Amino acid sequence: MIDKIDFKMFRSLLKGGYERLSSQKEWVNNLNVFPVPDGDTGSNMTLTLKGALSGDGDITENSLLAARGNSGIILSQFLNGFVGAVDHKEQIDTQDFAFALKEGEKSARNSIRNPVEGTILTIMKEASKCATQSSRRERNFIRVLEDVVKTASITLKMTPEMLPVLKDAGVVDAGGQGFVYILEGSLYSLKEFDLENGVVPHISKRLYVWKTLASIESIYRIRNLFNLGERMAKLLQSKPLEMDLAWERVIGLIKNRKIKTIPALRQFARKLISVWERKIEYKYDVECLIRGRDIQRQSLEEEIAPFGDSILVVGSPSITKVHIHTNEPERIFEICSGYGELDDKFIEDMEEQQHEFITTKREIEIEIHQKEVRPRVLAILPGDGLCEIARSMGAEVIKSSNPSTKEVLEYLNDEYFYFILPGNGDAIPASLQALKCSKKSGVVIPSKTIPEALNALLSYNPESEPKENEENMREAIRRIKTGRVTVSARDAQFGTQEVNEGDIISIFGSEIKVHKNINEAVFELVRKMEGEIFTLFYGIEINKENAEILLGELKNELKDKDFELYYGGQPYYQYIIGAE
Amino acid sequence: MVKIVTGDASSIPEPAVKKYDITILKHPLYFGDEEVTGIPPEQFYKRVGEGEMPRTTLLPTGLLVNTYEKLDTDAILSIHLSSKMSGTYNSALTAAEMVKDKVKVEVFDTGLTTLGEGMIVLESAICAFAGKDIESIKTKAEEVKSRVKMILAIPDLNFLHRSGRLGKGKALLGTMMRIIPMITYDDGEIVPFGRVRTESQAILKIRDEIRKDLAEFKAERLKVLLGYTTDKKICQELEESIRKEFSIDELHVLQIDSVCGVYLGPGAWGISYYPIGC
Repeated sequence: MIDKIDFKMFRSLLKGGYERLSSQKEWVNNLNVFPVPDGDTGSNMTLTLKGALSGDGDITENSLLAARGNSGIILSQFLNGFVGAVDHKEQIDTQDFAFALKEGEKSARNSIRNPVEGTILTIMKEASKCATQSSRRERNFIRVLEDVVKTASITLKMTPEMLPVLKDAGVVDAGGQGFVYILEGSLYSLKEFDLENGVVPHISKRLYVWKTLASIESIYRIRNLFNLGERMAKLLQSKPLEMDLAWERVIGLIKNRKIKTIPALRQFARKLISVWERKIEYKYDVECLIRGRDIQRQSLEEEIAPFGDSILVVGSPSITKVHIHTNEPERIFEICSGYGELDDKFIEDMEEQQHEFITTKREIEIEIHQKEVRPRVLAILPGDGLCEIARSMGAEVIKSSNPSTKEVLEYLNDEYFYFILPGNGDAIPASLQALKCSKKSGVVIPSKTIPEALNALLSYNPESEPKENEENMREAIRRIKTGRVTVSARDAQFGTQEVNEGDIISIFGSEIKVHKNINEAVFELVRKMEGEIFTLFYGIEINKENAEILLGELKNELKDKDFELYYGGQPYYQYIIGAE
Repeated sequence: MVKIVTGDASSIPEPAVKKYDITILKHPLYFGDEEVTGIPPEQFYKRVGEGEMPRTTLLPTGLLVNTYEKLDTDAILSIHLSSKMSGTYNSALTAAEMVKDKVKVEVFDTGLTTLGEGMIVLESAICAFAGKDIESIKTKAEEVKSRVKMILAIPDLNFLHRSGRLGKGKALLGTMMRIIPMITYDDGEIVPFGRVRTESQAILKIRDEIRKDLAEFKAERLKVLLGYTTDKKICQELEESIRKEFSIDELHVLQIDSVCGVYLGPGAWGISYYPIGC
């Protein structure tokens, strides 16, 4: 049992906290909406802790020097109070620890002009209260810290109830989350001490553990989202595990809010954006360090107070850190320079930062929006070559010349609006029927041949409105002519033309003609069809060499026309030709 | 008088450059490590055709600072490529800040490139030439920006794709059938305009779009820039075709500058048009 810790141990607890926080830094950044939604809380806290632990120097002073941003400075003040309360002792027990937590919390709270509940300050306060109670009956550090972590986590979950802006954004407080991570990391570190009898494991190993945990957590978040139902799962289909930051952020929020329907998601996205777009009153985040003698922090604070908010003036009479959100950074520096020598001057344009943050948000909303209503094109084509061509143009495909209603239905998904492109007149009724009986949304473009279907698909533009696409696709069908070469399956009479089983015939519109061989049939068709560009799709029964020889002959014979040859793989038809 | 500054990516017709006294800065251009800034387009496309890989960079801040300082004027409108496609806009903002004590420089983001950017530069320059103040010129530039449309036909999208600027135009890649991909711009970025099989289809598609835009803006007449990288013939056909249908106040056919040619590649051509009159 660990009932006492010394300074060296304290350092490594803090290190554990740092590692935990740093592995979750981006997540904390994502939560950041208060006081200014600029998405940097995690980074600021991490930098502050890293600074505090750098070298072997004084943790308090180092953290003050490294402190960045509101949350960073609050954290450095916490450390200041914490260390100050116990640094006269060689070792501390759980009661000393509770006292130190309390002093840390006080020091952090005093550094803020207008403390707000529902932030890191609340977490610190509840953590400290819990430690005081727990340490009265418990000498085991691990037990006490476990209690503290539990209380801190519960309090964190309540922050949206305390601070409306958090609730609107669907997040918990970022700084509070950061602090909970630090406590968790310390606890983990403490348990390691116990396990390994005081031997501190190599940092990189622990970092690795945290990183793995972090990735498991994010996978968990995704999985949970999938549990929200198939509709939501579909949203994520195209972006499974390589989720970028922005996605993870939104997914976390969705999960927190238990959003289960698309309209709810939309409403949520709108609300999210309105919160993130909140107008900033003060544009600049200004910080500096003052070195001097007998710096009067109180009077400095009063002097700069009229020029902004989120004011922090902390440190000692010889070194003081100033943080303020203001529109007049130069004015602030001027005032500060009256108190001593300025160092580490820092100005950040928060409007710019916020803009960047919001821009990513917008992209997400657009992406969600598109995923939800984006139309899809479904082509019904008989050959593997044809299917591949259609896929290369962004369509989904049913490989069939004449599918049943049920087969078409199986491909339709509630999420999308479908343009159905039959490659065969016979497939039109089944497609219409599938849309009708399922009440799925979509439209059947009446393409009766393969070249018509492919040409309609070519004219499809994902950027255009559905109405416009429908018009363009119908127009594309009118622009193209189709000719076919096949072998007659039976004896028949077409007008004056007598056809016997096994005859090679060409079909163009209602005209049917018997030919001596396949190539002659193609030549005749091309001459009859007219156009400037001819696209030939050869069927499964034609071998590639022969098709290429025919292409060469066509090009040679008809030099003013363009010919293109593709493998279609369709049965029954040796060649299908499109002319435009 | 207000002076207009822009980059050579805006493809301004030479006579207009002289007439309206537009300052055109050359984007640095390279083949490998060899700098070929300002290389004549014929030579440039010949080398691209031979398989050499060109690259270009934004207008350096230093160059902009020097230019702003040397122009003997009290106000400058610096008009540039879409800030989503090039860092030049930011470079110009920095430069403008650096010279603010000497000369007032306003920087304008066209949200476009080449012919579309050129149209905005041209109209602004005409305004400046007429002696308007910088605020009215900016208003004019905004007005043109809100109406001008650029459509480009780019047989080989790989040049744009490699540069990472193709954006949503990626939807046009990978088509197994031979097509002519067409792109346009939306909110400073490339979006697909369509896929056609032949140049005559492309021309018809452009005419459809012009018709729609004229109706939308209740406009009757057009100002037009036509541009090509290597093949002038198609622009002549396009000119003939649109002159038949529309009333055109002004039309220039020009070879697109090498700087944009880096991204468009040989065989590309296109139009920018500005509907006018209410």
